[in-house]
Amino acid sequence: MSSFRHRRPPEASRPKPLVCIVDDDSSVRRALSRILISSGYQVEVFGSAAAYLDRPGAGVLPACLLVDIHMPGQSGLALCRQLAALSNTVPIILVTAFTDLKARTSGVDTGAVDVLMKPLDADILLQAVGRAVGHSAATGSSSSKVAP
Amino acid sequence: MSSVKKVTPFAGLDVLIAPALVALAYFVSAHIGFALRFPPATPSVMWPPNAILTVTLLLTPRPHWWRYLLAAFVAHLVVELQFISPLLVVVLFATNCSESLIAASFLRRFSDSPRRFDTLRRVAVLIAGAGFLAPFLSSFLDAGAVSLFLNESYWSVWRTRFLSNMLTELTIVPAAVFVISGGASLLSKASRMRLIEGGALVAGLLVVLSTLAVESSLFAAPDVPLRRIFFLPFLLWAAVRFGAGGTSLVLLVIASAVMWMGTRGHLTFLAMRPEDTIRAVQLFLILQAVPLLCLAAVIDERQQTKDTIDERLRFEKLLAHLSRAFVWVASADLDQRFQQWLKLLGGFFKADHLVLLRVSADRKELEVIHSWSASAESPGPTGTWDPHLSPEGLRKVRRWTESRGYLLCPLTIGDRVLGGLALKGAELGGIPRAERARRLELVAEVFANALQRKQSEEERDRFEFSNRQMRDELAHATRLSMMGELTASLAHELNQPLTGILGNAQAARRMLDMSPPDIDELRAILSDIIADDRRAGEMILRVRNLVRKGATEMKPLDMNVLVKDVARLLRSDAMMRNLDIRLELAADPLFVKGDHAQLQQVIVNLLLNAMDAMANHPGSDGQIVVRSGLTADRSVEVSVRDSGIGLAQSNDRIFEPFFTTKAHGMGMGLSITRSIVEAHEGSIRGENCPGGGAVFYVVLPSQTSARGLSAEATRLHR
Repeated sequence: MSSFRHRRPPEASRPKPLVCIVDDDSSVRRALSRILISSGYQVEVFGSAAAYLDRPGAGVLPACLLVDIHMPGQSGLALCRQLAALSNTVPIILVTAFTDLKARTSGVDTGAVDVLMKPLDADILLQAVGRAVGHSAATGSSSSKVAP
Repeated sequence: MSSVKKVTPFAGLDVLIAPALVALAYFVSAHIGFALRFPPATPSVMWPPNAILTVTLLLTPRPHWWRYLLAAFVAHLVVELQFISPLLVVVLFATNCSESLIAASFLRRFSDSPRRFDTLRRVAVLIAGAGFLAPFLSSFLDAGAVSLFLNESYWSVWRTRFLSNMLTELTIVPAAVFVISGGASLLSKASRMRLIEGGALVAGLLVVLSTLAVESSLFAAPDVPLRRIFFLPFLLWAAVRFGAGGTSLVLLVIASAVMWMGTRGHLTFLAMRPEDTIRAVQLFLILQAVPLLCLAAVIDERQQTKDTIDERLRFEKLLAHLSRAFVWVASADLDQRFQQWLKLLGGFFKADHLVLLRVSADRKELEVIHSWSASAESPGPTGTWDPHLSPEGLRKVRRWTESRGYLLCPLTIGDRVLGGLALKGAELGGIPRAERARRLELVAEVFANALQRKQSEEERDRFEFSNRQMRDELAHATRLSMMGELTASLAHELNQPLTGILGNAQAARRMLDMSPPDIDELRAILSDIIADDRRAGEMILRVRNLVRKGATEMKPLDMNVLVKDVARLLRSDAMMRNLDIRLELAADPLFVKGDHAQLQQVIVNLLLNAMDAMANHPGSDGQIVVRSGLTADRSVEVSVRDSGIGLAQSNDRIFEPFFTTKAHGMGMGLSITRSIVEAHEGSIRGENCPGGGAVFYVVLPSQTSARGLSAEATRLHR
């Protein structure tokens, strides 16, 4: 799986929080990353759970992880469980295009900080990401150099 | 009607014109008669008026006779009053009439067809009645009157009159009847060769006659009897080739010529007196006429028998053809075959109309389904046949009946009336009515069988149609309920592009607030929005195609494209259940002819079945494999393999309606799947895989001829 990083030219000295997006739908990946970048985040995108897990360990630990629940191969929930097992501290926001409640609640069980329904409104997304990043800053996880 | 015409050839003429014509003929022939006499003897050696009267009485109906006799009487008066006393004139007319009345009455009484001289019996009656009895009896009266009024020798008069009238009756009556009642139509129907032959006969006869006339007038030759033999070949020719009518015509010509010569003294025979010579010649001609007329009749009769047998054989052959005609005909072509045979039979029967009827749907009346007409100007009947003739009424008709002027045979199978066969206006070239009816009955039997086949096939088609309608409805209903099961995954499939669209649009709005906006990025965003919109549209189209309601519409379809579409539709569902649908499709398009929605339904059903089989099954590897390809006999095969619980029941049982092993579901899925596949002339089977799970195979006839249609089919898919 390929991964790439959208970066904006440095405006301020403070490093921008990094958000990683894991979604099998390339169009969704691009749309979400554009919203986040336009709000000042750094974004890395991954087409599958496996691609995220293969992320080079030397990279900066993301301040927030946006994961699609239903993906071919390893699902978003499975990724959540695997990261929890690895003592992950990165706040995870689950995203789903399924509209049923079961999908929503199952996400929370796995320790995700939020579950969002597609289609995603930009404001709701940014609020959720802001909350997660804030939570992340409070726990200091973003400074951690532990690889996922 | 043609049959009436035959009874009275003068019927078409005005009531005054026909008697006037008879009077004229009487008048002219009487003058001829006067010319052919030996004055001072009163009786003519040839006296045609009596024969003319006999012909008239033969050809006209008895109630009209007085009209013609009156007309002839007037002519008689005009001719004879200038020569003899009025009383004798009246008496002589009475004797003339008596001869004709005796002749005509005798023929009408003893001949089965008094106007035809084509059988030995009919000719014998002619010879006995007109040729012998009538002149024999009437000559007693005539001789008595003449000897009384004119003092001539009784027996001399009787003998002269008897012989001359015998000759005229024998020659004129058959000849005139032949010419008047059938001559014109015979001439128009005769072949070219026959006309040439007749011409040659007449020409030869005239040559011999004129030679004789010239020689006898020049030399009063003593060897005339030898020359007279020359006529015999002509008479035999006429007898063998032209029947009694032709023979008597030739006899008439010869007799007239010889009598004319005789009365002019050009005929001498062994130095006899001219009147004795004439008598000898008369006797000689009569003696020739009798056997020749009989010979002609025998030959005619033989020819008729041969014609009858030939005609009957032709009919038997036609019937043999007819009985095979409907056997191997496709039901769609039956109507055309009916029409074809009505034409053939109509031509054979020389009918005006031939009509095929059948019992209407409500079984209350008979309706015309096919009709043939000999001429375009008088088309056959259509619609209801006869409101007064019900199928039940027709059932009671055992063999045939008269209806609307038609000869109508019921078409029955057992005790059930299917319709009728009606024929109109046929004379059938002298085929008796009973024979015609018998033939129509035979034809009707074949038509009844064919009609029964047509009806049972129509019933089968109706049944199949309603069956197909029910199957379509059921398939549609199950498609709808299937879509209900898929709502969640469909929502997922639509939410993905919608997320892309919304996210991209909102990002673009934010970018527009920047200065300067990144135009390249905005362009890329718009492209993504367009692509997502299309993706959503395609998804909606897939759903719409699947739930579409309508009659089965068979088109060439590429099964590979169809499978890909279905897999796309179910992708989210599979994902939700953590299953993967893997496609291993043939590289080349696999064309079948089928209904798009129904074949999609088949694949959806099999995939949903596979997913259900793998749900919560510990041994499952989460893989559903769909393969497509060609079988050994070049049929298209699509298989769906799962690694689920496998089949617990035999192959046949699982396709039965309401058979299910699932907690939910009605057990209609596989049953409908099979009925769809079978309606596409394909087959479906399911079996367990050696390593666990089950595989279903759908085999459909390949539309190989549709290779050229591939572009068309691809277009249809899009």
